[in-house]
Amino acid sequence: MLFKINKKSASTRRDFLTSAALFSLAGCADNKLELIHPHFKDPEYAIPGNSVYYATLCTECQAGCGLLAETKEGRVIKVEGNPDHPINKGKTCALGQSLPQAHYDPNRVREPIEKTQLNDSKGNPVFSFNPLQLNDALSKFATKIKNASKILWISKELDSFSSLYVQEFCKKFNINFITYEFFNYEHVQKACKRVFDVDALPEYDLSSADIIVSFGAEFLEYWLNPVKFSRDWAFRRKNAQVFHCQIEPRQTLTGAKADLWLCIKPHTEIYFALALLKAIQKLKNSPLPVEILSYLNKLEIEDLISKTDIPSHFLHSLANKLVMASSPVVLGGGVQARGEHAETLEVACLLINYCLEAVGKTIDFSSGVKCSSDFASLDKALSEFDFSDPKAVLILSGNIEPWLPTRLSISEKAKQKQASIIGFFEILNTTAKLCDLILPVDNCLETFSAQVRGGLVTLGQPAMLRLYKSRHISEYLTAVQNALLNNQDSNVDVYNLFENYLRKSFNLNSQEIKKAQEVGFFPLAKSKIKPKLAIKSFSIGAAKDLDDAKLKLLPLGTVKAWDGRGENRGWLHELHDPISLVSWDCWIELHPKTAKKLRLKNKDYVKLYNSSGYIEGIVVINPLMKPGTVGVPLGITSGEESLSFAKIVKWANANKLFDLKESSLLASSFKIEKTTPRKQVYQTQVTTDEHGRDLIKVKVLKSDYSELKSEVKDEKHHHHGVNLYEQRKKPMFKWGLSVDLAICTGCSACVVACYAENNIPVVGPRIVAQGRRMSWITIHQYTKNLPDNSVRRVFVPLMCQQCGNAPCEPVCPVYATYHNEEGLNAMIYNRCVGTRYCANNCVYKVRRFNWFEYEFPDSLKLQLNPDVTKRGVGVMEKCNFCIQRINEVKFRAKKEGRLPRDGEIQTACQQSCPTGAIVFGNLLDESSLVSQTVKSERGWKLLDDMVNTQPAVTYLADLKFQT
Amino acid sequence: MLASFLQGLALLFAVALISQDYRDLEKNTPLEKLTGYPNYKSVGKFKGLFQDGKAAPWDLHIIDYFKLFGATPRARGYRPNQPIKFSHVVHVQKLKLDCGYCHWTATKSPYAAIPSVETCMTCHSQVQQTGIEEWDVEIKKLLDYYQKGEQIPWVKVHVQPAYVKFNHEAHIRGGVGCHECHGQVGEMPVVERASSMKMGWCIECHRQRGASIDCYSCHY
Amino acid sequence: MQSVNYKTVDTLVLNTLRPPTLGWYILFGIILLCLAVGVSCWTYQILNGIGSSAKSNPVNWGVYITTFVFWVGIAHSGTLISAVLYLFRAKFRMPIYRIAEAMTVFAVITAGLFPIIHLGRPWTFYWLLPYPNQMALWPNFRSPLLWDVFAVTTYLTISSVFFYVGLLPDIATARDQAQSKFRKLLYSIASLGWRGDAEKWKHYASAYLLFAAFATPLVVSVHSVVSWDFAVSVIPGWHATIFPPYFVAGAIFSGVAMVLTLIIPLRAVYKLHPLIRAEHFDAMSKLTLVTSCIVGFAYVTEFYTAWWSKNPFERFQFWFRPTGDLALGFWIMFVCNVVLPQLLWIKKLRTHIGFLFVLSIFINIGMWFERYNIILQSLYRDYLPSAWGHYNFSWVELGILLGSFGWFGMWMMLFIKFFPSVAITEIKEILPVPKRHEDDSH
Repeated sequence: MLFKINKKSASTRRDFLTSAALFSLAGCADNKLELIHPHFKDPEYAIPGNSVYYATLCTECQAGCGLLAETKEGRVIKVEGNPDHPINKGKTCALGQSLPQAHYDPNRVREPIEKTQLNDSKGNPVFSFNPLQLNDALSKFATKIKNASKILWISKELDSFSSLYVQEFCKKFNINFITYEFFNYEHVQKACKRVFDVDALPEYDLSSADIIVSFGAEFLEYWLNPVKFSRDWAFRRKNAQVFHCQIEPRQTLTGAKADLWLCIKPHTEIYFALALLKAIQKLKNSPLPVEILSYLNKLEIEDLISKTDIPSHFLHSLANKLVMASSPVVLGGGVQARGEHAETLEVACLLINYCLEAVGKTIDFSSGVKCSSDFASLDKALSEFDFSDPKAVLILSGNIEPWLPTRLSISEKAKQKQASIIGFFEILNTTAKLCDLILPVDNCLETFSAQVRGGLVTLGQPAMLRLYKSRHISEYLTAVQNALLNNQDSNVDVYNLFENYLRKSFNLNSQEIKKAQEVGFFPLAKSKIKPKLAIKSFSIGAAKDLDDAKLKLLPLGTVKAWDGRGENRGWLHELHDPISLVSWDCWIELHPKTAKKLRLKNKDYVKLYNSSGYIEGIVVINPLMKPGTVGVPLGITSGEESLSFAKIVKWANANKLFDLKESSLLASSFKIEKTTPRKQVYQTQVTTDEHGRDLIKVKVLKSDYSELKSEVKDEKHHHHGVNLYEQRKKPMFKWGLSVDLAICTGCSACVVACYAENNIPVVGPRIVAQGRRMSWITIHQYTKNLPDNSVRRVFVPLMCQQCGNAPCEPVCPVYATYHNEEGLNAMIYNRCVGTRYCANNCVYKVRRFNWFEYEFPDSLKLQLNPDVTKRGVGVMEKCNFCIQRINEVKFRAKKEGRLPRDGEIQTACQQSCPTGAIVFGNLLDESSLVSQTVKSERGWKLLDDMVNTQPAVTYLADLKFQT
Repeated sequence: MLASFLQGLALLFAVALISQDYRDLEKNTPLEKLTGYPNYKSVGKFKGLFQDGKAAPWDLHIIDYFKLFGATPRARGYRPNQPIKFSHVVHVQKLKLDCGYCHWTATKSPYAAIPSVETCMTCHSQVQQTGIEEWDVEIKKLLDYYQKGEQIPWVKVHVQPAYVKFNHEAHIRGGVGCHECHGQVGEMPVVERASSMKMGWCIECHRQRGASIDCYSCHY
Repeated sequence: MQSVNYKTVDTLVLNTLRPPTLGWYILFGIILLCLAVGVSCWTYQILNGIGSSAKSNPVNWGVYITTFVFWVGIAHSGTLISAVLYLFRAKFRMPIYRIAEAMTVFAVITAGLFPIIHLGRPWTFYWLLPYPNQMALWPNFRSPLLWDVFAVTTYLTISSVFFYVGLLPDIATARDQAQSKFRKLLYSIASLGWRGDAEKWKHYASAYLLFAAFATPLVVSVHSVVSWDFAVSVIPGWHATIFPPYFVAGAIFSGVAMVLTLIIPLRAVYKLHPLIRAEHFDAMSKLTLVTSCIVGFAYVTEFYTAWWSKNPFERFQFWFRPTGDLALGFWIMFVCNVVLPQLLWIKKLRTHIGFLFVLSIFINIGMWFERYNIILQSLYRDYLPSAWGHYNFSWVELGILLGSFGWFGMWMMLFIKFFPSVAITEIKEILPVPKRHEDDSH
């Protein structure tokens, strides 16, 4: 995954030098006799060179997004959202985009492995991992199950196909099966049970909401169903039809997009919620149960609000807004809000929604989605589990270890263990290393899966053959079952098992199954339920943990790592976190005041530790967080855990700092101290300030969107058509792009998509620190002070602007870059000699140079896109609006004797963008979507007024309501 | 300095020609060995450089000829030995097979794929004894590959560097016949490179036919 | 003048051609060592990738281009002194112009290497030459880098021819006095059968004049073209019309300094005091002082225009230069190029050899930093603050920089040993014609 210098090509260069002076340096591309290996038998569907798409399912999280896996010559080269799928409508998050790297991960478990413990000369235990035959592995597994005294199975949330077989298996052999996710929604589910007596998670419909109040719920990042939420939110947001208020101690990406961002004292969200509930109840006097009413009456809004450090006028205006709104929605707590009152907070939120009559309108329980994660019983079971008992068996599936609090950590308990641990794993991660017997399981791109969400059943199917000797978990279990209960008849082929599952659970016939698999999903009969209020009373204990004297630790989720499930994927590590701008490294966020108190400054290296764990990282000064708090990113795990870059950066896992009780994430007191500073700083931006140059536009609205229509654009600077070179003949296309900053959430899906589509190498931390990152599109961050004296973080996806009057073109001495007739600023790699003058002269600094020969590890080579040249050393490269896609569609259209339709050509970034902020198309076609958006009142072209570059990319100003 | 530059070129040129001969001796099978084939006059080895593609003699791409650097030869007349002495002469001239029968993907995808072993076996499951010994030997080889279930490691003749995107389908739809680039393969006992396939050569044709000469139509 | 006559001139100058001493060998060894370092660094860079230099996005140019401009600058004064001053009939050029010309030729050869070293794919450098090729492609004649190619190659051709023509009669002299067979052969070939009869002298004079006329415009053109590498681009701090004159002045400035650096030790070692005298140094010091003032003026003008333009990028850039991360570079430049040379207002110092030597070295450093300052500062802080970057030297770059001095020095050392490094004939021109009886050797 990390680059390494290609010795082969290097050695040929050596030959050139030594044997033929300077004239003879030819630099020919390929220098060996090439062989062609034709198929032995022509494949049934695929024609070599053409893509085949498979509709499948993303099992990265529980949202159940449908995918299209693009395969060429039998390899998956990219995954994209399934455009027909109602949940994600063809969009994906960064994590979903990185799925191929999970599939081709160099650390995949390639065959069953048995771990044996030896002792080295000093008598310390050393482990050796030996490969096994599949049958031996199965028999070992079977025997262990047979004569086990007690079996405990801890698993991440499985898709419903697997979990069916797992649960059957567990029933048969009375195994105690426990599911656990770090980002779980247990407390939400409990709250729903208490308030409405429904045993399901709420499903929010933001596409109709006109006020969203969120207590730190990161619904644009990773909360519940981010892709769907982002789309719905953006749909309202584009025309400023929704007022969005975010209440949280440290600004998340979601908070950055809010109209009103309230910085609340950590873990006091509940008091604000109660105050809000009371205020709204007063205004609407809605029928709440008597106890609750009396309880609310006991409370005083003023002293509630005083606990939260938020001026009370905000509360009242918010309450009024909510009451006025036609379809408001209040979202529960996010990761930061998971204090001691996490569950009560959800209860309060549901009650507020109830008072606002949002339930049934914007909130819906009918699809009966459950969260099976259950920490309480995990806690119980693990602490009871007797590791000294040789007959006890612990089964693990999913990377649990980094998610467990230290007091439960298996690696600790298993030090002097007798009990045997068995694991089902894709990747040889920390948890896998604890197992005595590792059974490799399929990645979701090479097997079947199913997910029940949003009134649908989404089906997953293999997009390519298995890479290694892995099996689906259900195959293992059925095989073992057959062996133990010796029934030979039942079939262990995954497809049959899958069919049985579909037949059993949804009684489909084979026709329906076939159809469903083509489409990728089928709808479920939905029973619309109108939940009744079931709760009688609730209350919260005395305020604990509120003294300002001691620092509080804030857990932060990130779009690149979530809770750590994206580990070991170069694409995600190479991403910078859009807020801290740190790539590859771990960081610690401090408010300027806090930093001053701790005598720390930006880019210091510190170690933060408490009784249960530690992390090391760079200090990032962040004004948009509560003073007296320390933010630590979750799930950015240590080098040991993500093996691909272990040797380069070393840090520990922030999850370990926190102690989980029920669903609350709290840290005991901790210490921060400076450590030896690292040579490199993996922060990708020198500054987020504009330095007085008015580059990025933000429109602040008083009442509504119509203001913009009234205000006139200043034509002062627009000196278009100033072009010294002769005009070309009238072309048919002029490709253009527009980026709507009002709905760009900085989720970075586009960046990963671009990496996947264009064979962009992952260069690793050292080279990123040298400012040599290769990403063609990057999320730049600017902080602006707005007239309504609020501070706004704006995220600007910056790709090549394809200038109509490009400074890079005239300076290239060899015509490696020039302007083609379709308005593209072409970059021809094989003509480039590498003077780098173009990159100097590019005012956006979006050109990327291959400083070394970057090589992909073997398994990751399989992902490379054959339509895009892999660039060699000494060559400039940059975004080219996915020219390979343009050419493909143009040729297809030509074959069918027509012009490309609008929206038929989709750049990779546009295709992945969950909010549809990026629009691509033909600017000469008046009816095309992009030429509509370009005309928007908010549209402006970056730096054009200063340098007259005449870009083909138009940015639409960020939107915000005045507060 | 200029003088020394020219000297250098002259030197390279000489070495190139020598190494060229050397390579031919080593790689190419003399024709008389291939008995049973209609005699076929090989294209001269220098023609690749001069007679097509506007390639100037002082063009430094002469380096492509160097055995020294082990670069894949990209000149006309490049004629490597193949694992099986497959004769297009027999299949095209005698049996009147159409190119598209075996290279069926040429009209459907960017690649004109080499036929799979099974495609060969559609006929050769029947045709195994031809009476001509040299031929039966080759057919035997094919059968062996088939029995072993192996792919046949053909040696690539028309090598293009990875940064050139040539779409067979597009060219055939544009009315470019196979022979215009590949020459009269039907007359070649051993397939050889009939045109240098250098950029200037492509451009020339694109100009004549009024096809796009935008770099982005081939390089991306 | 009395101390010097035709004979002494010959002996003095031809002394330099005597078999080298131990000191020469030691110095030459050191120089070759530097060269070896440079060569190995470049080899390493080619094998490892251009990334082994410290450049990055956005700072895509660094030490190599800096050094390129530096050497081209050095190359300037040679032609100025030999050609322009010749046309102006400036007598003081006589003893120094030979060494200046040699310096010119070798500096251009050195400079010519750097654009190639700087390339990402050096083995494709010939794509910059306009030759009919199988790709049916021409280079881009709009690109300043291509203008560079033409400017530098032209300059190299003309200056080397001019240099050689100037050498002819002296080589002949050397031939007549040569001891060893080898040298005799070498000189008789090199002198193209020069006999020195009136006819030849006539042609020679006119030819020399002609070449001087040819060379003169190049003095201005070459460095103007080089300056366009920057002036034509859009980067704040580069995009300025003052660049061509500013660069030419700077070039002459640095060139004269380098002549001083070379000629002072030469004079000391080979006892050329009677030939190279105080008035020559005085004249050169004045030239230095003038150009220094021009350069200083240019610096100030840059700041003024930035302020006057009201352009936020320009203003920020020029505020950043003296105060930002690279302020040190700026101040080194300013002190060495503007402040120190002002001491030359003092007559005593203008003729004080030791002082001049030290000063000339300082000026060389200063002029290198001038280019460093222009290139890096502007690339550090250009348009988008979110895309700003940083740069620090890598040992490879410094190794190659050292190597370039080795390369230049090697040629100089060899030249001094093989060709008369002071123009015998021209000095004779300004000597009084000797009386017959005074000296019968002729």
